[in-house]
Amino acid sequence: MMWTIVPPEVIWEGAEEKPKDLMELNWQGVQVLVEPLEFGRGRIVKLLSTDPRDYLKPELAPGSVVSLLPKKP
Amino acid sequence: MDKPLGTEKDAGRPGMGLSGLDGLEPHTAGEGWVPEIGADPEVPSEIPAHGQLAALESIKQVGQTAVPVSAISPIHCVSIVGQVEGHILLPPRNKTTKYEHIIPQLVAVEQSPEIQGVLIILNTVGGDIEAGLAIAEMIKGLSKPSVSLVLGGGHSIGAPIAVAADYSFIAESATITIHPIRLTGLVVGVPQTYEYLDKMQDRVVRFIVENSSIAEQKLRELMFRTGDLMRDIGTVLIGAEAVRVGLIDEVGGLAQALAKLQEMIAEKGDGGISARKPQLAVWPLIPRQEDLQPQGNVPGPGGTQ
Repeated sequence: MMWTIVPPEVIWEGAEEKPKDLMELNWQGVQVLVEPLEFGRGRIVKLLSTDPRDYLKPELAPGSVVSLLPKKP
Repeated sequence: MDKPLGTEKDAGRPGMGLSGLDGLEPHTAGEGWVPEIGADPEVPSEIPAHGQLAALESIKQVGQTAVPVSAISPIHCVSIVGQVEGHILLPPRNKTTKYEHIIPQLVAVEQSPEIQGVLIILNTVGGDIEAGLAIAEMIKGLSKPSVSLVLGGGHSIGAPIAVAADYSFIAESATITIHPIRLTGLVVGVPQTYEYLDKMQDRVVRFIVENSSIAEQKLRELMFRTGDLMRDIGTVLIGAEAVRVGLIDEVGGLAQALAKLQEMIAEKGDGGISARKPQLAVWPLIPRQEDLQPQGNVPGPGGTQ
């Protein structure tokens, strides 16, 4: 239930669009839900970690783009 | 660190300094080489500060070189912007604050020994009631000092979040819209729906009244006032007006908010309780195991007769 000053038709504009495909993976030890982008990158959608400290890491904030490629040895 | 080492050849050598197997070579701060903390007993004495340790850990984990020297600030800032997103993922045009991310952040703030206080910055148009109240309750439940600052707007569900902090500020130009809850703004379907909306309304009203100086009657009057908002009911409170009705504690900006937070942190000291709120009496209600154990040689509850 929404309680907002924004009219519902503005909020729900584009709600019919197909939701993006997401994938769950372990990024540097943290379980995350990412939206895959091109060039082996992904945008973090949500953290699935139970360690609260993970949620303070700026690189793991939802919306940040991370590399999904394995690190060079 | 006294020998000139860390040539380019060394820097590229695999396994250098990783396990202490090449422990005879002293570590250097050569280019492209990051010391592994704790791997070599010779190293830690030179890097005692926790902040620096964390920064180096960050280089190791994230591969970033540009990290602040002091990795953890004693004051953390949580921004509540755009729509407070609840149980339904809002379409991508909306700028949203995700409660599932804010809540564990507040858990981290509460349990982290380095963090002493939290600043909540609001510029929100409202959003999901349940998610908003969840964030508000989390802020209220923090034992560490919290200060909120409403900038731009703290509308609808933003109001309970703003008052949930120990002390609240509003910028002179910022506004808070107080208006009734409804489903679509057009029609109310059946009496049950109306009663449900009323109950939702009561939840929010009760929370705001309990956590600010505003009287319930006044809040409801503002909420249902006619003639203030064009073609709608409710009130827009601008800066000082929100303070006058008792919703917000003070008009101020960033400097005042941070100064207040620092003051509250200093007042609280180590092991103290939050400056304004009384600590919730959770512990006395749950008897500790030690208290249940009888003293001396009296048989315990499991070992009668």
